Amino acid sequence: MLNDPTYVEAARALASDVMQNNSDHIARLKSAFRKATCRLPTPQELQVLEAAYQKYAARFAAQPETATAYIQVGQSAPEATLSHVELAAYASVCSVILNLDEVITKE
Amino acid sequence: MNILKYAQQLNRRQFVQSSGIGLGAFAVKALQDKPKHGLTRPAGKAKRVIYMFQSGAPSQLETFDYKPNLVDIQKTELPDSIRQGQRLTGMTSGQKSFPIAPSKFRFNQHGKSGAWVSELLPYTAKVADDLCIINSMQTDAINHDPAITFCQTGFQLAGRPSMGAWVAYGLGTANENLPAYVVMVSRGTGRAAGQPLYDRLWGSGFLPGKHQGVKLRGGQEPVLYLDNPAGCTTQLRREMLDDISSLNQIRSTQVGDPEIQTRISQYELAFRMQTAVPELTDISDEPEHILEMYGPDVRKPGTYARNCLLARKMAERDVRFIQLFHMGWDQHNDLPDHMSKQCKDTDQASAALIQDLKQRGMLDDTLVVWGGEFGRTVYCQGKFTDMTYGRDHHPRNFSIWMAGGGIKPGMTYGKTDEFSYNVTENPVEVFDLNATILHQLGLDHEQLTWRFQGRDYRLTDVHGRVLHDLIV
Repeated sequence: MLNDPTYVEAARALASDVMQNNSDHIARLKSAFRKATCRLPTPQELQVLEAAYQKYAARFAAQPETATAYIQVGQSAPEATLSHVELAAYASVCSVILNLDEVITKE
Repeated sequence: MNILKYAQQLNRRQFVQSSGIGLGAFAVKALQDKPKHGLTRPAGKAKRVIYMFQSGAPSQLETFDYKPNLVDIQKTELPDSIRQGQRLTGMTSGQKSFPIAPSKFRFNQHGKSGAWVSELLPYTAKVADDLCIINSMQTDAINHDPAITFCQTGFQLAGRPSMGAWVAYGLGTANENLPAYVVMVSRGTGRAAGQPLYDRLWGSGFLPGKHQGVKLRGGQEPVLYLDNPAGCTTQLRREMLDDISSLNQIRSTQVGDPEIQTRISQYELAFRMQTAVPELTDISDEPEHILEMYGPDVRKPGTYARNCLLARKMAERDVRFIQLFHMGWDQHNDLPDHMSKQCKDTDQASAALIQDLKQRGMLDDTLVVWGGEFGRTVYCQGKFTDMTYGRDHHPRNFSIWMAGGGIKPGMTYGKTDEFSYNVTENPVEVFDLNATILHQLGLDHEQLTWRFQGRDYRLTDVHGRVLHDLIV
């Protein structure tokens, strides 16, 4: 599910959505997490998400062409108004969220 | 410390489960703690198993159980003294007549052991001296799904762990880059609309999910989406996996669901499989004479022959339990035609696998099993002419073979009556076969248990005896 184009695309669509509907960085992370898990992240979880975003953004910023490639996975065109590096970094965080055990399996 | 965490840390089973190395390493400790739940480990003769499951039930009468006398009594009725009121399937119970149908195929004795093998299996016949043929297998089930489920899990109803899962639990993995239990499925050419196979047949039941079999797909891509998506570097993928793992660990302490540990370990395994699987399934390095040995089908992904070659490659990489399923052995009608095709699909590659393992010195510690879920009736089902006949399901006796892994070679075991309808000597139950397979791996089938719903479960339930007659 980390590699399936449909899921990669879905993660990017979720990223576009939270970026466009929230101006605040932390609010974006919380919103993405909540949409997938139906709960807000704990402070500890939020810390992991925030650190993850910073790491991913630094990687994509160092190689912007990878950001452009990553957000083009799937059939829908990426939102043109968003920065490629930021969108790719949020999309990666969203991909992490969509791959959590809690999101995949309801027990 | 919260109570949940405390309870988890006290739970030895969960400790073992999350440690990722299986119970085997704890055998000595487990024996001291609680003799009933540990494992005795006289070093197993076999390090791994390749089980080539012939799904649909191949006829014993056209393969290994030679009954020359049937020609003389062909088309006469099956005597009641032989049938003994045994149940039949709904497919033939309404037949007015049960005429004896001898095999259309010739048998010859092969090798020093003089094993009887039908002309449908010329390649298998050549390795007869490596085989231990059992003609006295018995099962309780009379229809495909319960019968395969019974072979796989020791119970006819779905839900218990499969043998491969028990082995993965008992021995752990010997190659952390591949699953301990791998399954490959191929379709036969003998019967197009064969019986379906369900993924639960290689499930882990109540054992932790990480022990379940992983099925490789038959086509060009054995595992889908092995490659990272465009723009995702290996470093980014590694970081994302670490973050998924951190968040899953946090959730695990919040809710205490042990299957979260399975999820974490499966994601890590998938990451390692990203490089291990392409290397495994790439056969471009195989020399021409090896490919020729397995036959022309080996060049086509998804065939039985290709799967046999991949099974050898997995054995070399120490996958513990490798299971092939070949479908289409369900010859209710047109048996001579269908059976010829099924045998052609499988004969050469099955024998090649034996030879290939042998020439690499791996047959000694690899146990190979060939067999289906039941046998076929001596009486004809449906249309019976000089050219064609069919056979219904027959659970009372059937034939399988084993090779390598400390099993006596060049031996034919068990006898049936002159109709191949009842076992007359050395009956072997599915439980006995499964107990023996575990024994050869160094696992005691009576001690390999898992407590579930208040009692200890085994692959062999309360049955099974190790077939010491067949062991070197």
